[in-house]
Amino acid sequence: MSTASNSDPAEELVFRIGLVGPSRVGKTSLITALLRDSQRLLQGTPVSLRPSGTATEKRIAQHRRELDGSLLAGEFTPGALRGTEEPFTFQLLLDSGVRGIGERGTGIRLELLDYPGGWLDPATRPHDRDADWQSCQRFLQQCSVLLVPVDAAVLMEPTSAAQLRAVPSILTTPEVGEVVRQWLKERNWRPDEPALLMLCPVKCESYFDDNGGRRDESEELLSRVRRVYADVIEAVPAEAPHVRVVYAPVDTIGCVEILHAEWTPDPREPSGVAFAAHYGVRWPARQAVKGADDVLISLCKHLVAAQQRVESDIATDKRTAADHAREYADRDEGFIRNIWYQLSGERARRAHTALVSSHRAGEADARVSALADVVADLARRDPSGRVRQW
Amino acid sequence: MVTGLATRAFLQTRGTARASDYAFLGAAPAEPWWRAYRDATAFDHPTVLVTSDGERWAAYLSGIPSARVDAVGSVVRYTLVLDGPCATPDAACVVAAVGAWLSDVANGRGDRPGGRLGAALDARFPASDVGRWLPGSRAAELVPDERHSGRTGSDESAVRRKGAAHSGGRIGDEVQQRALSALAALPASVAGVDEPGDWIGAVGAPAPRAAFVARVAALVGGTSGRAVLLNLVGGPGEVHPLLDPASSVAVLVESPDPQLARCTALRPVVEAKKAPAPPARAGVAALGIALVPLVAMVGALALTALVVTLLVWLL
Repeated sequence: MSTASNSDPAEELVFRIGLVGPSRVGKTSLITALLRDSQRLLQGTPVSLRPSGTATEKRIAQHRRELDGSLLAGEFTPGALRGTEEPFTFQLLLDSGVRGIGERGTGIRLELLDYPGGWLDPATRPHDRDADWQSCQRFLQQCSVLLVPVDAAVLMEPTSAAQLRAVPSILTTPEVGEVVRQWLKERNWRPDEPALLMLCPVKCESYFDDNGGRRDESEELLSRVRRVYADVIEAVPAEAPHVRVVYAPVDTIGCVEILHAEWTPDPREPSGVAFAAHYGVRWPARQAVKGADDVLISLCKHLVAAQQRVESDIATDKRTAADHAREYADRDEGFIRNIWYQLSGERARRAHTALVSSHRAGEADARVSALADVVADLARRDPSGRVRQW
Repeated sequence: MVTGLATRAFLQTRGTARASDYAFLGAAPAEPWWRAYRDATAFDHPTVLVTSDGERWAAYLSGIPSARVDAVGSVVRYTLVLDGPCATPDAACVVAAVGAWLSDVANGRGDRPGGRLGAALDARFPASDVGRWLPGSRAAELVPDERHSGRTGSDESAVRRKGAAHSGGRIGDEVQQRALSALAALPASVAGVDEPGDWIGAVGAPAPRAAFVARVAALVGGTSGRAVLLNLVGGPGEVHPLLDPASSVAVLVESPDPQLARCTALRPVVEAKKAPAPPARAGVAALGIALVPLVAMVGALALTALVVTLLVWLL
């Protein structure tokens, strides 16, 4: 399992989630959309998904400010959002809401590595970033969940054969496919670990009519994803059949619609064609994320199930340790030793150890119980009709 | 002003094409030393880091908007990395660059084109040249700067770099020359009066800005310490991890807090020492002394009984 742990594995587990997508596809926007939609999804539960640490909190806030400012101005260009220059690990906490004594809160820490998408292509990756990319690759290989954001507009807007030919190059499909294949091989070494591959078309609001859009081209989007990512999808049963593949399209903005797409010849692009989409804003010009809850449900089901297994093991270990400690504390050591242990304080020390151990086991049980409730709750929620699982 | 080569300059930006992601043009600094600040600042937003050990200084200015936009319409940004020996005339360009960039940020040009520093760089780096010099284009092969890194190129990666070193070196020299020329064209910044020690202020306020420029002038002049503009830090309570008794720091943040309209001294967090145990009362001490012989006698008897019991048990 791709869990790493901090000093005390029972206190906070770390799950790493990989993102594989080209430059400017919207990796950061997907993370922000997840956080924004999670509030709605987890309403009424003690569980929350929130930024963990000031750096993540402020980066999310910066991204939201840029987006909200652009929407309020009544215009949206994907260019309102900055591209990524340096790798950054977003830290989110899926907080169980159960607090141990003196604890900050317990739950699952999610780490999502964001990096310049241009690094995927060795031809455009700066040589001085080779080491950074290797470090990103190591991170990706450790992940049990891989998210592949796909620019829906690039898939859906081509109308000519030349434009269609440019799609794999713009989406860097071969490079994405290579990373996914390496990840699948790594998963194949760990067949007992649950693993999840999510294909997430983003900026989908123009192709669904369930979030204020005017047309429903959802089946065409699904069909194009299947066609363009056929190699990736077909690699799963061959490389790591236990990996679950989920297709979950997301409206990362929600209140925008493509007005027109522009395909212009550009010798600087590897495909020889540059693509740009121009959007209009739907009033009331407020971000209305849709589909991120599906991602989150899939993610939570996977992560919490895995977490529950780990926590359950920990709780069992702690309960066993507590039982051993109590047995040790109460053990009959013979008349003389019993008197001596009583006089020397050894008996009191053993009793104290047993008490602490029992207390910790109780806390671990409480956490497992809280997370189990969340699993049950999420399991009851059906994903929307947008989602497909292969 | 013509700047000599004692000062080195590196420039990172991206091309307009989707595939041309952010990269240093020509040559990259040997060490990404600025990453030590990654939890305190987002490098794609306005950031200034200037540090000096008294002999050499290094400066990092990022988030500088260009007039160019990328494939999806985002404003393309520059990152400028400079270093050099202290107390040389060349170093004045750093003071000018920092002064111009802070002024741009304060005037709302930190996230959109039209600032002085961005315009100066745009004038020397037209889109066509940037496109040619980025990795992936035929003209450009990026090599990490090895002139001062002291590394031997023994590994495979170094061999690959050496093959590209000639063209990369040429582009790197051209980039350096143009970047320094852009900075030399900036008007000299008026430095205010620096506050001694560690302080924090708002970048939007003139007094901390002027003091910051004065601190930068001192750093490149040979005073050791640091001057940083950070964007993930909100106030004095969040900069304590940056404090170092061996290296004073001037911190600018984007904050509307009126208290930060002037330089506010930062005090290191001193962990509360454990309060010393209160002295035992004299009566209790006297009683303790009186009981010692009695306890010793009982202890000796118990020990004897224990030894005898153990012997019996063992035998």
